[in-house]
Amino acid sequence: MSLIGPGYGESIIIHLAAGDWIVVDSSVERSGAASALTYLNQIAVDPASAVRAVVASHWDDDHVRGLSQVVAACELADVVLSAALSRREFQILLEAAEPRSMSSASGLREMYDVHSILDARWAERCAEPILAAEGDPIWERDGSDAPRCRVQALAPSATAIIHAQEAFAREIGIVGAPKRVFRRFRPNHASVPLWVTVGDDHILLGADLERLPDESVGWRGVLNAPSRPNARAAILKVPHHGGESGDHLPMWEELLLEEPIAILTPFARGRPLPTLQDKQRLCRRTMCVFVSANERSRSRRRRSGPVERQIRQTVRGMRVIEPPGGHIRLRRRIGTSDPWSVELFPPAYHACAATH
Amino acid sequence: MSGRTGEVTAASIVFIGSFNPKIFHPAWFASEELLSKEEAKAASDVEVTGLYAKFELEWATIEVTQERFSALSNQAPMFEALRDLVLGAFRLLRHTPVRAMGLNWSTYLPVDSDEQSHRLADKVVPIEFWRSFLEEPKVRSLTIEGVRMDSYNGYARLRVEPFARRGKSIFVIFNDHFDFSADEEPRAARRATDVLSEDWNPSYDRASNAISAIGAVL
Amino acid sequence: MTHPRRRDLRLDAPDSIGETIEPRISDGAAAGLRLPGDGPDVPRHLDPAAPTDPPADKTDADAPTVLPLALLEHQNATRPRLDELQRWEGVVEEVREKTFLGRLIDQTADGPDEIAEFDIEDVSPGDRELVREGAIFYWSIVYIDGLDGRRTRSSILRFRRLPAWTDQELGEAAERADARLRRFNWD
Repeated sequence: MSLIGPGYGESIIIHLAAGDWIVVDSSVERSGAASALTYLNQIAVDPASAVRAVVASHWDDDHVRGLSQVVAACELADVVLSAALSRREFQILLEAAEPRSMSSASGLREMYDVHSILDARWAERCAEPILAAEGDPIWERDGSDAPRCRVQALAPSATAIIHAQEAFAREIGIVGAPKRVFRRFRPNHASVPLWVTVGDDHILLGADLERLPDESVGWRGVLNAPSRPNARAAILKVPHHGGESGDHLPMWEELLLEEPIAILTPFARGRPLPTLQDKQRLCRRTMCVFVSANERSRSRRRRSGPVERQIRQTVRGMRVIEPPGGHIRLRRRIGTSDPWSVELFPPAYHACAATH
Repeated sequence: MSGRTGEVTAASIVFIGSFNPKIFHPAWFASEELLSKEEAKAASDVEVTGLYAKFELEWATIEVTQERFSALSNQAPMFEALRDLVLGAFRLLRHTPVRAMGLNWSTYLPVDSDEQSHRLADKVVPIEFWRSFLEEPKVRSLTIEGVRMDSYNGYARLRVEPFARRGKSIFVIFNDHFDFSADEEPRAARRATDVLSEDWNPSYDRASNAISAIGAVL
Repeated sequence: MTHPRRRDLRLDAPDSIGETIEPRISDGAAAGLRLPGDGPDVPRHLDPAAPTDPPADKTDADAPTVLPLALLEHQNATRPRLDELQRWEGVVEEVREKTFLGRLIDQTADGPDEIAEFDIEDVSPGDRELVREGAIFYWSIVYIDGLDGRRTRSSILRFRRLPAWTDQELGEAAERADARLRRFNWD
């Protein structure tokens, strides 16, 4: 399993054994190439034939950059979207928001491109995307020729889908009102956390799911759901970049083994996450906390003298928000008692060593 | 628009079709929030009738007849604003017949001497041919046309004037021409605005590459 | 600048002007037949009855979508020249009381995205209502060469004005959305 994450964006690539791969979310390299595709090419895995599913855990632009490249390259993979995005309100939003004229940094634009590919595939071969909601199986392998495998969505619940629908409806637009870029919806009711089982190993991918007051949504909803996993995971992709709103102690206590491996990507835009307090909190839960990149970069590209002087006169502060990305790779031989190995490709780092 | 600022110094959008110039008053643009009220009020040289409309902003000139709409800016930071102004206007006037669109990118490349202009001219035109029957021939204006590499009808034309009137400079204008007259679908503004939106950056890049290539000869 | 009015021209037969004039306006106003006092005139550079000009100044039927040079030269003569040194496309990430955070995508050279804090006061008063989370803006650093020959260095911040939603657009978007929902059996 690999978690690749620059200061902005994340992509998870999991080998489900037997040459079957799954990609969850997408980030891009500085070159603009999708990180997942770059990695798969590096290890000589052909995305066109080996990737079984591409999952967009939600449509925030820090999770879907380059996703259309991944979907295009993974020609035989199922494309999995949150069931919330199948609501009429979101589809109208997608079609009405003129994504082609939008900033290239817009998540909606990336989703628009993904939908264009889905439409084309349906026209070619009647391939339909898969919708993920609470309890839905995303991909399964029965275990006869290879270790048993199952990928299951833990959310969104029916209530969360309704909340998401209402949020989309509010954004669609009022006749006469100027259009704008659509930003992240908070809380993100469309988020799709995943439970991945390969043999006897379990992985919890937390997406951006948050802890919310309503018992039927967010992490409380996951734990209250009839389809909640009965097992415990050894690995957690920490939700919401380690931020406090994604933290839910019962999730740690009920769905994770003791001292799980917790991996996360930073969020370097606006208020950087994880904060020092977030890291200290996580390290109290487990000593095995790894972050894929530095969440705070002070550096900035130096430009010519006149430009630098004007920048200093114009803005109060300016910094790079995409510090170079790192890579956390976790490996274990299935069917053995070997422990997980953790490889950190800089600038990925061990958060607990840094906070102590 | 990637990476090559400073080369293209003027951008213009021209629509050929059927227009009602009376609509295009700065106040209309402000009422549709395509210009701020302040900007619309500050517009100068405002002339708006049923036959002809024109007004000037600090950064653009808009001119409309019954057959032709033109929007021009010679300020690179405002090129996208120019595009958005036209997009906004014609998204609202979506049924206006538009038969053709031109995206024009131009610049004056400064030269130190006539020799530089001659060098360019000699590169692109075999001037020896003309010497046999003209005294001191020089290329005044050269237009080269290429076919479109995309799916639209039309052409791309580059006009170069090595001895431009404005000081010592070479005038270059790239006309990216889109012809909608043979389209099956209704030839309305909606089509033109879709193309304008999709092709703005690629068109700029084509022009910028051509200008760079010409500049490299000097 | 005002355009010379037609009434300054002699309304002779075309030959006396020196060349054969063919109507360049395809329909509508019959060139050369409008008498003085009939109303506002089409400007010189669009007027097919205007005296001969160098080719670049005429609306050329063979190049209909080229901008007449006269219009460009007028703009060059009446406005300062801007030499753009750097440009970013920005998206507003967060609006604070007196400032906003903007995510910046370099349009001049490849490079990582940056984030900067701007004073809302630096935004033109007419654009301040556009400063909202998600709004797109452009930030350029320029040299301004004024008509008086003076050069100054400056920063231009301009918010993008996207056209407003129309009934028709929302209706068409809904149709496309419904077609997809039927295609995939959604909703």
